[in-house]
Amino acid sequence: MNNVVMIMNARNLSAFRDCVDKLNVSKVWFKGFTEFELNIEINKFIQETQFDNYYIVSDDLVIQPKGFELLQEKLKTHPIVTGWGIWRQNWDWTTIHLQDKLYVANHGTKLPLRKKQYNIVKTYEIDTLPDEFETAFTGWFWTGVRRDIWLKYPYQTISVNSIDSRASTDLHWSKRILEDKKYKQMCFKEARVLHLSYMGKDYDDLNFENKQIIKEFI
Amino acid sequence: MNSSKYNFKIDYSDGLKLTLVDHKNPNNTFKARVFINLQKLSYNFVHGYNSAGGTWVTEELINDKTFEYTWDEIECKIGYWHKLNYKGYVPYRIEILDCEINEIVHREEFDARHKLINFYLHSQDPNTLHTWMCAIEKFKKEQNCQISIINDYLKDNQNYSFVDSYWRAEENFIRYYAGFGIGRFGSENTPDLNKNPDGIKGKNDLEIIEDILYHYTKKL
Repeated sequence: MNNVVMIMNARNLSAFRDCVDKLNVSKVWFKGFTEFELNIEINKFIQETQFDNYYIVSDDLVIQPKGFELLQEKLKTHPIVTGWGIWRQNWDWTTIHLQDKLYVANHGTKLPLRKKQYNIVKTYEIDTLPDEFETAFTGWFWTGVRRDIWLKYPYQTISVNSIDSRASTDLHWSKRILEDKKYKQMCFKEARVLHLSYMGKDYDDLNFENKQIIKEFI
Repeated sequence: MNSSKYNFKIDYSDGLKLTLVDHKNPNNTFKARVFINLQKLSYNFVHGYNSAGGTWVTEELINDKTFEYTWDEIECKIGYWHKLNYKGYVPYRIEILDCEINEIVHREEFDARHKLINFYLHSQDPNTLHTWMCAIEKFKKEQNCQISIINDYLKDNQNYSFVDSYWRAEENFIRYYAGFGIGRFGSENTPDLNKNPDGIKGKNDLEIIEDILYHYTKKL
């Protein structure tokens, strides 16, 4: 299949570069863009290209080649696939959100935005999961999606202007998928992703200057 | 157990560092109790014989006992950080007592599952590094964790597929759950007791990394 990885790249983490270099897949680097600015760039890229599937990832998520090969394989039979990892190195929360204990009271017809209302799987609970399962959230942990689904559910920040700092494109996207109930966001235990993030030691190295879109197609 | 009025930072990136904040009572004091579980193993020699006249001796585990050991008890002042000296792996269990109400308000265990453990390897010798990397691979399997390595030689070569990320020393990588430095610290006559707890001189490469990863879990 003809796949591409869309990389949200505002940092210079060498281990991420190492990881991407090991993957035999087309890539496009969106360098120096905020999540809000990518509302235009990512959707334009998808519309103007004809890949079968588009992966999305931020530049602090390292995957091993074996994990990515698994996602590539699974994307042949599932329209949405994703890896998983922990929120922060100093938290026990993972990105896996189960719906078995979904709390929707006081939200009317809307699904909850706040993550704590899902059953968030903890690091010490991973072993109890099957090899593949549905998650309510992807976190853009090397999330692969069929092109027609991207066109129907575009990348979109929660905020509607650049002054509002709420981005949460991953959460907003998963919420729309959940609402329509047409597709499952499938997660795979073997596709564990390293999240280079530690609460209290992050976000001092983001660089939003020198915006570039760099295509590395194979 | 309500911990919303508190802010506890427990950082394993260089030994154990505790920072405690009580948002409602800035004059409060805490007591941090640090425990570890140890396993006492006993062995017996079993002598075997066969009809051809052969004899052999095997070692048989005859008793094991797990018990909890109080590692330290620290009086903690609000806004100050407190560190334990040893810089190696210890499966700590921590309880924090609010002295004002005399109640345990936080419990935590060291749990590296699916988290990143960093090793800063202070050598550029391929043989030394290989010995250490074999021990680290074993540690990864035991902990089911992820591994990052800070070492310029290994960053250039990246020979070990079990490693999740490599870094150069100059990159000052700090985003990991727990971190350990491996190397020959101190001097020949004055070993660094924070990394070589028994102070024995002239250790080989394997003994050096064992001091960091297994001193308080496999030796008793």
